[in-house]
Amino acid sequence: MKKIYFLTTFLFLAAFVQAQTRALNGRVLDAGNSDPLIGATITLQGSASRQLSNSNGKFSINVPDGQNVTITVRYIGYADQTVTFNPNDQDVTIKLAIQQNSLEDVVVVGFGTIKRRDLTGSVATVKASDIVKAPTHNALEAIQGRAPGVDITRSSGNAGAGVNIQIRGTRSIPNALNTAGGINPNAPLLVVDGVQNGGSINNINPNDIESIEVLQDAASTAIYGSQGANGVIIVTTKKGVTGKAKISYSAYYGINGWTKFPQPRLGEDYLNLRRESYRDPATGVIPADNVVFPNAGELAAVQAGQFVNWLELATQNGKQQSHTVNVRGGSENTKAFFSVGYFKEEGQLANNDYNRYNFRYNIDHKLNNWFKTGIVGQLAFNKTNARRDPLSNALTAIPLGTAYNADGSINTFPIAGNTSTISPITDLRPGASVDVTTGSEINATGYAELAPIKGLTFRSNLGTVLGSSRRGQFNDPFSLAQNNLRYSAASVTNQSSRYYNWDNVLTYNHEIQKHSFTVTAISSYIHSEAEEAFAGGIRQVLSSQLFYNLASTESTSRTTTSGFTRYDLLAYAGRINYSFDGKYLFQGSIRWDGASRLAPGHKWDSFPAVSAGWVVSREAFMKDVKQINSLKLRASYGITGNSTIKPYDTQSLLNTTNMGFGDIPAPAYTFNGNIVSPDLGWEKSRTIDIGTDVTAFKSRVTLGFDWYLTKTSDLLYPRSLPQSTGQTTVYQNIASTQNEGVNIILSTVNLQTKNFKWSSTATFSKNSEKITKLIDGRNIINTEENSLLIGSPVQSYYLYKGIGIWQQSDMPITTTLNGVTFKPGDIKVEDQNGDGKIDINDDRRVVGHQQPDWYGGLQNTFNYKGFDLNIFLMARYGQTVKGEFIGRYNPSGEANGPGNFNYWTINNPSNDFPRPGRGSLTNLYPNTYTSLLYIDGSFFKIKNVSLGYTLPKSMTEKFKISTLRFYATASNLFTYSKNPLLKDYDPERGGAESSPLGRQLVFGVNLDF
Amino acid sequence: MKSNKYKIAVVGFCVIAALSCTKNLNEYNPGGATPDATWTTPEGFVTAVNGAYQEQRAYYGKEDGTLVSEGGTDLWFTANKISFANQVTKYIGLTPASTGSAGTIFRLFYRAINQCNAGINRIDGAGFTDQADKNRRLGELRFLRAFYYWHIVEQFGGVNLRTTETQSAELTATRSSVSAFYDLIIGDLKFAADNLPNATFWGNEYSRASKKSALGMLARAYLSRAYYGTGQERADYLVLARTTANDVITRKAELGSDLWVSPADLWNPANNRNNKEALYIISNSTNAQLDYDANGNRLHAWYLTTYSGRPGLVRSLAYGFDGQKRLQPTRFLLNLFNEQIDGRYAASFQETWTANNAFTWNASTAATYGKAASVLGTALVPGTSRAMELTKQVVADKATKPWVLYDINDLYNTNGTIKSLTDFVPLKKFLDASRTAVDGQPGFADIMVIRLAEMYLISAEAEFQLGNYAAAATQLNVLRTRAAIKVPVNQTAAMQVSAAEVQTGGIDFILDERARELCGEHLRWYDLKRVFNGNQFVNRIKLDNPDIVDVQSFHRLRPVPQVELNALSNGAEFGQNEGY
Repeated sequence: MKKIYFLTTFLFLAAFVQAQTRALNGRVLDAGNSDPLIGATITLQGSASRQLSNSNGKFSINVPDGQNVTITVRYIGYADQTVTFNPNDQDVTIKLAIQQNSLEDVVVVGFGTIKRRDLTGSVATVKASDIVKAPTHNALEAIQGRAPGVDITRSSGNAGAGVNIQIRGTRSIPNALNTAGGINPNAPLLVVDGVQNGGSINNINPNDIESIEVLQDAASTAIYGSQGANGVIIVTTKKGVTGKAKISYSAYYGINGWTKFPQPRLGEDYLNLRRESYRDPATGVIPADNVVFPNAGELAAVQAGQFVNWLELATQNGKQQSHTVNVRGGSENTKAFFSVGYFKEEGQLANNDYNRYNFRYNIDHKLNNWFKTGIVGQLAFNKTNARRDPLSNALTAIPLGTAYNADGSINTFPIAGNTSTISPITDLRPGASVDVTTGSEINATGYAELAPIKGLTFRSNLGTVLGSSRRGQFNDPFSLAQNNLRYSAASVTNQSSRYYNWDNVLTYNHEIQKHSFTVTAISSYIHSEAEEAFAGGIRQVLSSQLFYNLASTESTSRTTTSGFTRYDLLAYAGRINYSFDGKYLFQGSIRWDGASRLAPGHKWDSFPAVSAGWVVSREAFMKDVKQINSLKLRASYGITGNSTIKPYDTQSLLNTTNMGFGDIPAPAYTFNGNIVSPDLGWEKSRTIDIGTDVTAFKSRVTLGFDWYLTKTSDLLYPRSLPQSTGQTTVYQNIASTQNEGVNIILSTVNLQTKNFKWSSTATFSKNSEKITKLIDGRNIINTEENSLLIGSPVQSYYLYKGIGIWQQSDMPITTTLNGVTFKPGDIKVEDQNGDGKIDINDDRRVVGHQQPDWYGGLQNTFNYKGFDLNIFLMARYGQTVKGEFIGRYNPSGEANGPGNFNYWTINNPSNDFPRPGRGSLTNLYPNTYTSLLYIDGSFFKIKNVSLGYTLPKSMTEKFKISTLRFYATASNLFTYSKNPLLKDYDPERGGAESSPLGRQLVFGVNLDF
Repeated sequence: MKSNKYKIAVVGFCVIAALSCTKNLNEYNPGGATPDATWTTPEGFVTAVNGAYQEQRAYYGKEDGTLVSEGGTDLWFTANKISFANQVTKYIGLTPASTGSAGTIFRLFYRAINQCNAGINRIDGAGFTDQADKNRRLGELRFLRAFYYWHIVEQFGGVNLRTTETQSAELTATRSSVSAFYDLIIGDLKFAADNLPNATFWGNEYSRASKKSALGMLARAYLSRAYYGTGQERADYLVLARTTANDVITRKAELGSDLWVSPADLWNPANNRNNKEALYIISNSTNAQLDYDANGNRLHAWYLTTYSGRPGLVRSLAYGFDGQKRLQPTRFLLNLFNEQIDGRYAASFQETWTANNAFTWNASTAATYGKAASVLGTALVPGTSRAMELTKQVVADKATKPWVLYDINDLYNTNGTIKSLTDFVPLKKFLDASRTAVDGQPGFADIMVIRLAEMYLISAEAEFQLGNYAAAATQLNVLRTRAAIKVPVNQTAAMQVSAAEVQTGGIDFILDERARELCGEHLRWYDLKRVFNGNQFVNRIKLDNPDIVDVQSFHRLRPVPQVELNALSNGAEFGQNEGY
């Protein structure tokens, strides 16, 4: 009876209150730049009343009249704010501050989302605002240094080049078979809007991306089972928001260039080396120039002093530009995001450029209160003009002759009378060398989401990727590519691919008192087909036809090839999340995976994972620790897999080869070199991860820390067979590796005053890897770069250690190599066992490894009134690189090489580079010269400096512009390398001499209406 | 409630639809070809036979084949004395880890042997109904296996003798004796000789193995085998070598082979295709799709000297591509010829070049080439004037000749070592008329692997070793008669050699004659190692090629590549060749 009374009173009061309401008007702004926040949720406490802010950030909400009201404002990426207003407050302004790693943020994880607060795994998140900070076409390059545990380097200085990315070290063993075609067996899985392998990241406009999450530990990645071993990168594109349409334009324009690259020898410097190479070791006499330069043309050029710096002529400063217009808007039921983008980059070589056009459409529609559907997708079109990299030619070409004819055209043969030495810039002749690829990629993902009863949702996601590309190549008889053959060649390669990924996710959410459960069931199917057709011929009639009329090539020369690749992957998975009072968190998952590419009987396997979290800060005893805002401890363990082999690698196949008898063609098949191993199974990684997330000092300091240990077993490797078997390799599960490391991210607001703010984010990652087990317990000794040694990292460099140059003062020298006694001026390598014989079995050792010991990034952001300054520093330390250009030292001077190498002569007892002589490096210094190639690649660099200015609202609002920002960014500004030989080279490139990294200076504008 | 049932029905349908997508995970590979699918019909089986020829073409016409078979002998040194392929050209740094061209042969030829074994093992399952057809294919495969194994056993000694296709991860190997190798080689060749057709059968596919190929190779194998034996065994094999070689000579018309009337005709580029003197040919086509790779046959370049860029000379098709020099002759080789009576010198070596570009001697060029003031102003007329001369003669007044001229004393020191770092007398046997681009490196000429003349030399050598000096002289005189200069004075009589001369000259005389006839033809290293023991091998090379100083007796065999021993689980037990 009492109850009924109270209830009646309550209902009466409620009705009364509802009757007496007023409208509270206000505005939601970004606390940093006072931009209106569109679509922020405003909720009245103690009521179901809820409103969204409009395109000006304005809202109006009915609140009870005559009393204090409390409203909460939420906006993704910003800290929630709860404010109490008194009955007289009107036209209020609520400023939300951007929150990094906010615990209330929704984090995208595999097949769902979760609040960061409830996360038990290790997930790094990078938001839209950070992704567009660096002007680049590749979003992954933009997150360089922002996510701990993720090692990113730009793959080359070519226009449109992508990145190399590796998460938490090397587990699988890269080898000639699994890296063919540029594949990286340690590459993470890319998930775009829920679609696994949903297209190429290079095709996505960074301006279209809402967030990028990097899943690192097994608890997070095991739900991707066989694809999760190398981490998962989840890209979520921007969606429409309710409210008036908002249009944004962002653009930049800049210059690529000022590339650092070793300069070739010129003038006397070059002549001296060449003459020195002819010095008779017995008599010490250098013969006359007509012997040193037996070619009359060369001799004449020397006498006339015609020196050419080919490197200077081969390079240029290129341009890059980007334009993006996007529109976001929508009604309560239908929301849309549209974007159009254009990007163009010209490289530091003429005729090397990359163009990309993007059209994105993301539409979500609510049919009714339990049925949502939508389509997400884009069309990307790109066109790349590639070319054979002439830098090695420019560095090694004899620096003599005349580069241009009198009429300004390129002189194909710079040295008079020498028609075998072609100009390194011969490809710059118009139409001489064309290599153009056009590609298009259509992504379309449709989804339907059903929520029939409370707590239960079913989502079906069908992602498709249609790709096609055409590469056309033409090289004339005097191009670098055809120089040795002296006939033209033209070809066309067509590729097309069809890919779909159909995922179904059933989620049930239930809460009983303080217990909260989420159960997820998943089915996932992937199907991929790719086709390729190649046609080519030689000696076509008209050069101007390029590759557009292959029928004009010599009929007997034509080649055609075609290929087909298909693979399927089917998986079922289940996951349970449990949380008690938001304090104790638990997650368990299991996935069963089947892959077509594995051997019959070994296709299926299961991948379980468990993890737990303890939100310490919610415990009563932490209440009084005011400095700590939140503290969570996490631990996880799980198993993930990898197959690293390509489709059909478990089949023993034949190759077709060229063969003919006389002029009669003869079809011929030979073994492809691989023996089949019938019991090939999955590579498996077992990872334990222990981490903590701390927010402290009024949320001014955020720390994330993870320690992990990954043990990977059954690594697939094409093991070398004895050559006498006539076969080359057999794929076997042969090795185990271990990766152990820490990832740290620390974000701090260092200074904050009314007008000035200085914040910084530092990431630090350390990883140590080693091979723990090899088949038969024996090291696998191959060449210096692909030997596998127990106890050493996977990509170790195993060779003689160079310790300088043999000197006259070392005489008499007794040490021998291959039975040959060293002479002064030879390369001195370490005699490990001190037996006086440099022996390949006893004296080689691991001198370095490809992966860094640690790497990190430091982001500093300064805001002063309308100005913002961002400085990004990065470092990679402890990696060894193969300095390819070091191998261009030419001891005979028959060709040129880098100019700053100090070589040994009888009068110059240098300890750096060996004595000149007649012959090549491999003939003069067999097996020892490689010891000079592998050097410490540690570097520190100022990767980006960006200065921006946002015009005051008072000025821009007159033109209906809500934000107008100008900025200038300089990239790769300064680099410090530990090894002085890398002084003229950007070591982020990793030692390769082709397509070195240049610098960029870019000016841009962001404009929002 | 009704609505909920409807909702649940929709979701239930979707879930079931999702779970039922249990697709087939079998691989679908329509573009791939497996041996079991391909080599089980007679038509498909031919692709296995054709594939077995493949690796020969990676040897002949490529650098490795020339370096490993002619380099490191008494005849050749590296062009311009540069450091090049030192392991096989100079025996410097030849180790298991650093085998140079020899290691390439090991890898390629075992690959080919596996292909042959696969074919030989599988032919019974290939569905041949015509026994003669089947035996012809088997004959080709067994000829090829013997061919590859002969190179392996001569280069590496008694290593791993495999006769079955590798189908699983075989990680152990055992050594077989040299005689076991030869038993297989001889067995294969006898089968091939019995079952292969005469050359005409193949028609335009003339570079397939035919009966004459098998018999020629068999004669070569018997001769090599004889030297591993002693006493009666040795004599037996010598007789077999002689008999087989003589059989080829006697039946040359039936087998489809004949000697050209002069060395000039033999090496005339116009006679290159399907050369009538050949017993076995590696063919190359101007259609690059039929060649091993786009480079085709680059043999034309390996022995040439630099002429382009010299006064009055530009690179031409006729004089060849001089941008890829590899080997130059020793003074010993040049002096083996009496060029006054022996036509083989002029047919094999080029001493003079006629101008193909206008040029007038000026002061600076004259100074460069050491010319007297008297040549200044002399114009070279293309097609008429001599532009260059590199000669084994001694020339008296070189400075006054208005052309580039280096004589034997400019080219060689008095002790026989090479003096000139820029010039040498080039071997022109392999000049290629099928090339179309002056500066293009690819060549498309055929290569004679075994030719009829070798049969006379094999017969002569066997007779010599059997003590039949007169018979030896008779065979040698067939070649010497052909080689004799006929005009303006017929030197046939002067070229004849007597039994006594052969006896006195000893094996050196046979070797010298082989050099005069076969220099550059991928045989010299095998000749030296065949007839000499370790010390003789070293002495011969050091005496006649004094630039080679590092050769040792154990170099008669190459080292087993270290990669092979590393990959073997019983590498230590298998063991390295002696000395390495």
